[in-house]
Amino acid sequence: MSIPVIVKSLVKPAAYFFAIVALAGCQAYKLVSPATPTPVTGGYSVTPTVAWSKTTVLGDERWTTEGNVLQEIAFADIGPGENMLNAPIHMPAFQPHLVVSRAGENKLPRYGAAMTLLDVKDFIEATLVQVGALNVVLDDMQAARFGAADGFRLGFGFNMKSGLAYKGFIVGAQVGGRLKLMIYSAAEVFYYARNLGEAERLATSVQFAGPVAPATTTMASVMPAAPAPATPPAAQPANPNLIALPPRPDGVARRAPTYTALPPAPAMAPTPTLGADVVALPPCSSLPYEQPPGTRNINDAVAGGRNTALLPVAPLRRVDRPCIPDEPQQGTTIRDVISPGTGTSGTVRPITAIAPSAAISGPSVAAPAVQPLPLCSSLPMEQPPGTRNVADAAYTRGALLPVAAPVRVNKPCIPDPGPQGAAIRDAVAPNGTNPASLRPITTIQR
Amino acid sequence: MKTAFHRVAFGLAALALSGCVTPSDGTGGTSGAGPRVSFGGSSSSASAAPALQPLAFNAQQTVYATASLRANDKPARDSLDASIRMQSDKVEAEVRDGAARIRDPDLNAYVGGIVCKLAGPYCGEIRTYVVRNADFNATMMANGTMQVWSGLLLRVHNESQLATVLGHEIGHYIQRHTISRTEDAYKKSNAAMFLRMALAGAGVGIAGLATDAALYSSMMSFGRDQETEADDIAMRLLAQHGYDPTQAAKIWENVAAESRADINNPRKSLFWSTHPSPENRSNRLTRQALYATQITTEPDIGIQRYRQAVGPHIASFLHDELQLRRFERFAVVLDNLASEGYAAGLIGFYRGELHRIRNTGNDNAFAAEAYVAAASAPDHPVALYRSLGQVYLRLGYRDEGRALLLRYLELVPDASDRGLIEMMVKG
Repeated sequence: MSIPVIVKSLVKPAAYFFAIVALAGCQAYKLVSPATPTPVTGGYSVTPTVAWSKTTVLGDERWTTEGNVLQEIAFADIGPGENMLNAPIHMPAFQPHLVVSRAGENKLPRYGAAMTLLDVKDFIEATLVQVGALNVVLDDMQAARFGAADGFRLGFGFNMKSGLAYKGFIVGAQVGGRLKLMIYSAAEVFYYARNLGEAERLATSVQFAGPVAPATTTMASVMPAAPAPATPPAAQPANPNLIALPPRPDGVARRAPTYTALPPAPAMAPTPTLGADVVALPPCSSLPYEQPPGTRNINDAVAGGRNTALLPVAPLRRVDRPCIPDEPQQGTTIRDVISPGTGTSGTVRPITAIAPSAAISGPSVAAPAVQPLPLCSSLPMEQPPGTRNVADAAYTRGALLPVAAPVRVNKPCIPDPGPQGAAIRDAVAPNGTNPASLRPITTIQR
Repeated sequence: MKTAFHRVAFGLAALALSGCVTPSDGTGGTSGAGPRVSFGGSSSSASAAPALQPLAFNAQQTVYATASLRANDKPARDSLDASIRMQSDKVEAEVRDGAARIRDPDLNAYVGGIVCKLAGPYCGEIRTYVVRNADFNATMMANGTMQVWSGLLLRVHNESQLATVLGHEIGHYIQRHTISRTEDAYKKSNAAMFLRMALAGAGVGIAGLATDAALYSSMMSFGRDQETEADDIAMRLLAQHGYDPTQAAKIWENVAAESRADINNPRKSLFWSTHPSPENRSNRLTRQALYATQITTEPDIGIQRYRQAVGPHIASFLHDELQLRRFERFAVVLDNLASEGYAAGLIGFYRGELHRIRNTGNDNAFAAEAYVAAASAPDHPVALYRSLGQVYLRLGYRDEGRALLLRYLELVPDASDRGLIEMMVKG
């Protein structure tokens, strides 16, 4: 191997190496002086009693007195749709590629302004797990003041892959639709206890500059008003833990929407039941055959007393009616029930299969307007721009273009084939292809 | 000196390239040249299904007799083989002492027992560790360290399926796949690759971030043959030890279904395309099982033994999987468990959790439906009441939501989230 080749081959590794150094070893630190209110990420200030070193990791503000791997405080100001942290705590002890890979899948939890405290707890736990923390435990969760805001506090612990145990606490509040967190974390052995007192003092020194918007962590602030009840209570479920719901103060008994045991929500049409209000579609194989109009059967030149010998020959076909495919393939869109009174439009559930219970009702279960996705195999093929088909080289002006195989057009579709019972996505909202707007996965159950 | 340096580097690389059964989403079939082993011991193309021969081996001979690695064989101290094993020993120590290891003695004894049974004369050389990792995988290192990930245990449903995977890993070991891959990489070496390996081996994690994929791709190009060979060995071990060979294909059917369900499937890299696709594996194993079942007169699926050992951990495995937010895949996992007759209360609860945490569209209604259905089963977790309470609150049913949260606190007086719930209820 020649010298230039060797040098060239070393360029990328060297770039990675310096990137590592830049990320892990050469962070710029600033001194945080004690006894001075110091603004932090989130629009509030804290007042330390000892000097801290402050740095920024991928946009996240971190303080430490022992070194970030051993002990640090992270300040986070999280808006709707944002992740909890841009970089894991204790970098570079955490493997940053875990974050990158997870983020690539768009699976890192995102904050929502309507989250309850329990949702926030799930949000924090899932974030820690996804960035590589092992054996994550959240404990001692309770209400706590966060500056002038009604906030919360929870303790947590986890292990690095190596087994090293970390411990910490999080204080925070939902203020003005944003989640503000102060996260203290340290190696459980020695460093956690050594710096706990100062971390507690920082947490209690939180001071917002102006008036604090009401915390959004109470039940009243995260819930819409309950709909007016109109339905008397029905038979109670067998589970006593579900039935002992207290009566309303105004004396009107109201039931929660349960979709199997509880009554339908107010102002909703009665749930159609299979057999009584709706009928199952017949299997496609049970539909009768018919001769397509304007054609004749090859074996029969006379039909209905008329000579049809001059009509084109065509095979029989099944009548065109809604039916359930006999051997559903993955992604096959089927209609499973239909209302005899209203036909196939409007009220029919436009889904491929029905959930375990055919009787789904309630205030929020009205199926959105959806339309079936096509099978991927049904999408047309196209030649990628700037390429030519190898078979066409001699006959097209694009003979000098690079050869490439045709590809299917890039549109939302349902993968195929698949066995019956496989989970499928069957439909997409007509106003977009955002995966979030898709219906939950359903299963073909015949 | 230079040679030793290279050997250390490739020893490190070998750790990253240890044999595995990681699912692939690749679409192609097997390819490439090289020796292959098929049923009956004849050499044939691994991808040529019609060439499969009827199983004709005697229980005492076959797999172990044709292995590339002799049992209890110790490599020469100055060999590349020994260097690779030495590096593997270091990684094994990290796995053994690491936080991810599941230390339940019953579970480890169960999995280790099956390994020992399948490995036969190699039993003493293979050490098995059950590791908490939600992905579907098992790995084998050159020194006989086998890792079985919890995500695998969640996705196989009986002892025959588990034995399929364990037999596959044993196949990698006794055929010296990890070592041969490393040796091949040694021959293909260049300075850039060497430096990357050295960086990765030195524990500088971010080097792996940028280089792993390229490294894997370049070095796994002949992985399909070895994966196929390991599949063959697994099938023969199944038949030899009385397991049900027809269960082998079901693993990959489930994996394929999971993969298809995930519309955000990220695994489109070259690395994955160099492995046999789950569909191909499933089809091939199905055909092989036709022969293998002729050997096994009364196949033992081993459902009860499997559930007795793994069942106590299923809830925590489901919890781990849920944390990864792969909802489409999770739905398939739940469907598969439900179809296997797993605890309806537990599965229903996690079906509700899927909808509650996804929280888009009609998810809250579906979550409520799942919770209420699960509550009628005796094995539902108490956390169901907390979750259902949350969902009722989202749906606007304040009183019922509050009542369920309070009921949860009654049932779990020392709940760690009592403070949060009391704060919510008070509001």
